[in-house]
Amino acid sequence: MKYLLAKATDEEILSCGECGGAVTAILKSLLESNSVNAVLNIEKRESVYDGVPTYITNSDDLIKTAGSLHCAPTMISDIIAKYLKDDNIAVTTKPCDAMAIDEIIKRCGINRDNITMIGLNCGGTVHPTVAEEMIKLFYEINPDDVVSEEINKGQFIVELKDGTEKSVKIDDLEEEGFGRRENCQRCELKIPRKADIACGNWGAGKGYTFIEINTPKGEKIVQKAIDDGYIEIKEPSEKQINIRKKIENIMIKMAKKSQKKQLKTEYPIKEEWDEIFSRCIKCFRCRDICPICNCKVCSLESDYFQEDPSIKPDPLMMHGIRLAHMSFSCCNCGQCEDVCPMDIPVAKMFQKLQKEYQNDTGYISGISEGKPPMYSGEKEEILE
Amino acid sequence: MTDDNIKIVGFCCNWCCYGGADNAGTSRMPYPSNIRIIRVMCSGRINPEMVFKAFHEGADGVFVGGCHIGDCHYDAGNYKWRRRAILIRHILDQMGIDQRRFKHDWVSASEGAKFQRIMKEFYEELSELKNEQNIDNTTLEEITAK
Amino acid sequence: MLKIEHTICPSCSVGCGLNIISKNDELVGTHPYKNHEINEGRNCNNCINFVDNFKSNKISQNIDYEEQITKFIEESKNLENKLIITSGLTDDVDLNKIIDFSNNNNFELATYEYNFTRIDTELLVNYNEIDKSKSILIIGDIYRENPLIARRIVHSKKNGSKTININTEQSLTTYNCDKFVQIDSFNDLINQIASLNLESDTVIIINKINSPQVFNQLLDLVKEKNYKILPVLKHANSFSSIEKIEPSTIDELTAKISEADEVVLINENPLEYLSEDVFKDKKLIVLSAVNNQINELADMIIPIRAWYEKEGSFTNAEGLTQDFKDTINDSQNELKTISEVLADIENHYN
Repeated sequence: MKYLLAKATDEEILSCGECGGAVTAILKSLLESNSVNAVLNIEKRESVYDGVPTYITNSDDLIKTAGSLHCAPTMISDIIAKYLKDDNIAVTTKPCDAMAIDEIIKRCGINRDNITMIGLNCGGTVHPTVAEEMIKLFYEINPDDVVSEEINKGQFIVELKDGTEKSVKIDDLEEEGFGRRENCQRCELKIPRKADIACGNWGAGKGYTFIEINTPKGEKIVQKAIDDGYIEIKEPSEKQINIRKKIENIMIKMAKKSQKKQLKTEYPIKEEWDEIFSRCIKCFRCRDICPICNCKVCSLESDYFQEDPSIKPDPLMMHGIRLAHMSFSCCNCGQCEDVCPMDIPVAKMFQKLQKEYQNDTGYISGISEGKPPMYSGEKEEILE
Repeated sequence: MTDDNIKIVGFCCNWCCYGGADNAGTSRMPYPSNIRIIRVMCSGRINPEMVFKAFHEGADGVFVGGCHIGDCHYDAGNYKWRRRAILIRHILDQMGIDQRRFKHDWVSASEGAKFQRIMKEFYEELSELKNEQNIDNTTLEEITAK
Repeated sequence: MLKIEHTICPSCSVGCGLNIISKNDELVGTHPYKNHEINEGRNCNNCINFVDNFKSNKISQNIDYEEQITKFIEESKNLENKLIITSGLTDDVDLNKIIDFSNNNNFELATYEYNFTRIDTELLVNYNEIDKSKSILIIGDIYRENPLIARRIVHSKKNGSKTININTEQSLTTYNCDKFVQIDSFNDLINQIASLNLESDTVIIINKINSPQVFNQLLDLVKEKNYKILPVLKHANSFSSIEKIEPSTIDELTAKISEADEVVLINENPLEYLSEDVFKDKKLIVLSAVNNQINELADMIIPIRAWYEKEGSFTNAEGLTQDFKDTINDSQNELKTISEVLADIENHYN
């Protein structure tokens, strides 16, 4: 059993959840069988643009987290590493979360046995304020009228209060500078295979979730959910498996194209970087939010790296040091860029470095087995 | 004649490169006096921050010298350094610092002559670079003056 | 139990959104509030340092509250001149209560708002207009002190705006502006601006001024030349505070303190702009949620709820009122809000 199609048996979950609600049903099964203490998942708060990580111990509350939230680019991996290290929890992980958790595990920041990772396939997320703007502009509707959204067949689809749907091609949105976040456009990992199971709608057909089982633990939890009657399953056809594979490949190809555009042809030149760096206020927000940056004592705070705040900042003393510490482990989650008060394209710079490091050493952050070569004691032969 | 305005910070490993520099000195092999040597126990001790700090403080060039691959006093320190050096080059590129300003090499304690040669070459390279930049700056000034 | 809830950053008057992370009813950290229209999930270090202060420096609850209140009433009963000093850190509900309390119970009320005064809302520019403006004059160091406003300036620069910085010294803002005008003192400010011959739709962003007179002259100039202005005030609710209470200058405040026998500080640490000496021989009562230098001089400290433990609203620099809620919702919390403390005192009086 490697691939299967599943849907929830619970009526309420079926109606609220995305494509069959299998994820919510499996989470419910985990929580109710006491396999985990809690679930950490993104909950819809005030609107579809407002997704907040929520810690759930009561399985009745799980229904609030059902359904997709593409306009909530929130990471949960840094929250686990910072606050829930010793807790036995189940989490839903986007590919970037799964990569980040993998890198944190390599740095001994999280114990893999403590977390059950329910992976979510992801084609990208949209920044909430960008989403509202683009819904006003391209869909010509009031963003508040949107009750749910989904991404399907290259279209960003919104459903309104009155039940009608409107869709626009993502390519058209992105051409105008809207659509998915830039780092999502460049992201090559669409299916989180480091998670215990990876769920998504590609190839699933209406009303079902396509599940790929990645680990023995994943197999166990799916089996338990079936045995206890939380989900119904059926075998996917050869054709469905191929459709899924094809979608994944197309997405990866698109990502490579975006990488070429954003990291090579349109990458800022030295003079542009000088101007960008001159507005860095050294607030360290990029470090604080970075899921990989979890050191107890940070070099950036040492006395000998402090600069006079009234002079022009030297990027070497801030971004240089951060790049040296973790760029080879960057999982391109884009959080650093999202939280930068000065709009510095931090993620671009880090992903570029990780790509270059990948070329030199073959190490792909969050995917390759074993620690980054930067930490190994290996004596490899390199041609000089 | 040496241009005293060029500053080179040299991190030399205690067991090999520092010995090499010493060897050059005791054998009366002159090399440019622009280098300020900082003795470290192993090239594996040097992290990118130290190199960046040297550039930040105004060094024109940074040199790191370790034992030959296979000769590390601590077994694998120079392998670790080599991996870091690769990353440092990429970062310097990103930060707009000319890669020629950063050099690393392996010098054993008996290779005074090699140390002398490396220093001479590095010094010449840096003065060339400085001239290039000066030309760039003057043309820029001329343009703005007009 | 981990909880993440929305709130508004109280460290300055920009009015950014912020998520508070609490674990077992204890503030542990912050998280970006990405759907907030003002900052889109971006916060600066002022905000984070401010919140960190609540993490590490909160006043403990181990004080017999009833005893404190009785003692306060006993001791201040016979005093003639009593003064309350509050600040823009106090939210609207508490501010109204403080005003009522001071009127009803013979307390004088004062605030210091760093020489900014009330402003005609017609002259105010809103944040979105900054993004689109073509000419911006920055007085003070906005880049370092109010980065989320500076971000708007960065946007406007992308659209080709011209930026000029005026300040007494160079700062990060200087390096990011097209032109820098150095002045010896803020008394030269008006003349300097007049000599710049700015376009009529220029936006003036200011976070530093030396006196209310100069600020009013500046407002007159803005009115006359058809400029727009955004004074970036010190605290989250300074806008309301200035509207409701006539702010004092340093000299006026010093005079008021010297006349008073008893000074009650509510959410305010005057040591940021006054010296310790002015409080010599004064009875000093502090209502605060965190420990700071002033607490060491205080005769009595009454701990109160911090902003993230209560409901309320702040009005930001562009005049927008934003509600925030109790992010912890801890039923075991015995701390009282400022309004509740003042109400208790009033009950004892009657």
